[in-house]
Amino acid sequence: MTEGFRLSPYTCTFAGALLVGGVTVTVLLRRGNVPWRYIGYSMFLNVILILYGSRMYSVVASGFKVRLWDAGIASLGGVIGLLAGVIIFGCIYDEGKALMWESYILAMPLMYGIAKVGCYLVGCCHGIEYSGPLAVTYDSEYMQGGPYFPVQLLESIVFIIVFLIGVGVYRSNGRKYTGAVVMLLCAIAKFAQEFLREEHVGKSISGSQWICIGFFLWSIVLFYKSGNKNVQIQKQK
Amino acid sequence: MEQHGDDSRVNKLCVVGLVCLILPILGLLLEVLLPAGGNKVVATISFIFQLMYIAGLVIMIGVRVKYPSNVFGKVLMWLHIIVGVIFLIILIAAIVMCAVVINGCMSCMDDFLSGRCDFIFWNFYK
Repeated sequence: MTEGFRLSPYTCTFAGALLVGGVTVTVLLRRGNVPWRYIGYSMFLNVILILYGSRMYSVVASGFKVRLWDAGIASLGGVIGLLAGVIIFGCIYDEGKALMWESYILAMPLMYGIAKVGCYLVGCCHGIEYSGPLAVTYDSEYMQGGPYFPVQLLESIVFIIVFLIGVGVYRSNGRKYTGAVVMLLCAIAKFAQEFLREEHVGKSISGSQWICIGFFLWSIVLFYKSGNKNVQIQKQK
Repeated sequence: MEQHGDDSRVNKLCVVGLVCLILPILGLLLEVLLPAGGNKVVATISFIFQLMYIAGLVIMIGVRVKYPSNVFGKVLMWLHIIVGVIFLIILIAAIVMCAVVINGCMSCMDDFLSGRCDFIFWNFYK
C-alpha cells in the first residue's frame, strides 16, 4: 500500500537555489542601475543554460550514450552553463559586463551550497565509506547504502562560507577582486572535496578536478586583469 | 544603447533565430516518440538541436538588446516566452499526472512514466 508521496527534496532545493540566486543577482544588479529588462534577459538565458549545462555535462561524460532528456543532473555542468551565460550576455551588453560578471560569480557559491543540501537529502554524489561522527546512511526508495561521509553537507557549508567571504570582499576596498577571489576559493574547495567522494575512489584526478584546475588558472588571470584595471584608470587620469 | 542597423540584416538574423527555435521543438517531439535507449546517433542529434535552441535564444536576446524597436525581434521574444510557458505547463501537468498515477494503481504504471516520475518524486511504499 502506498503510504504517500513527496516532492523530491532535490527538486525543491534546486528550485530554491535558482530562486535565491535570482534574488541575490537582482539586488546586486539593481544597485548598479542595470535596467530591469536586461536583468530579465540575462536571467532567462542563465536559467536555460544552467539547466542545459547540468544535463549536457552528463551527456558528454557518458560519451553521448544517453539523450539529454534521460541524462542525470551534474552541478558542475550547471556552473559551466551559468558562466557561459554570463560571458555570452556580457558580449551582448558590453557596458554592464563587469557588473554582471561580479554579481553572478558572487551568487554562484550560494546557489551551489543550497543545491548540495538536496544532494545530501537524496543521497546522490555521496561520500566515501565512513562510520565516524555525522556519517549518513540512506534507506529510501531512491537510495540505499552507507554509512558514508556527508561530503554533500560539507560542500554546502564550505560554499556558503565562500559566498560570505565573497560578500566581505565585495563590501571592502578590494571589490574589483570579488570575482577572482570567489572563483579561486570555489576551485580549491571543489577540488579538495572531490577526494572525499566515493566515485573518486581509484582515480588520481577526476574529470571534475580537471575542470577545477581550469577554474583555478582562470581565477589567476582574473586577478591579473582586475589589478590592471586600476592601473589603466590611473593612467587615464 | 539602440543601434540603427540595417533592418533587412536584423530581420535575416531573426529568421535564423526562428529556425533555431522551431527545429529543436521538432527534434524534441521526435525524441519523445522514439523509444528510449543507448542510441548514440539520436543522442548526438538531440544534443545539436538543443545547442541550436540556445543559439536561437542568444540571437533573440541580442536583437532585443541591440535593436529593441525591431518588430521581428519582439515577435521572436514573444514566441520564446510562449514556448517557455507551454513547456512549463507540460512539466506541471507531468508532475500532477505522476502524482495521480503513483497514488493510484501501481500496476498501471508503464516504464516511461515511472522513469520520469522517479526524478520528480521520492516515494515511500509499505
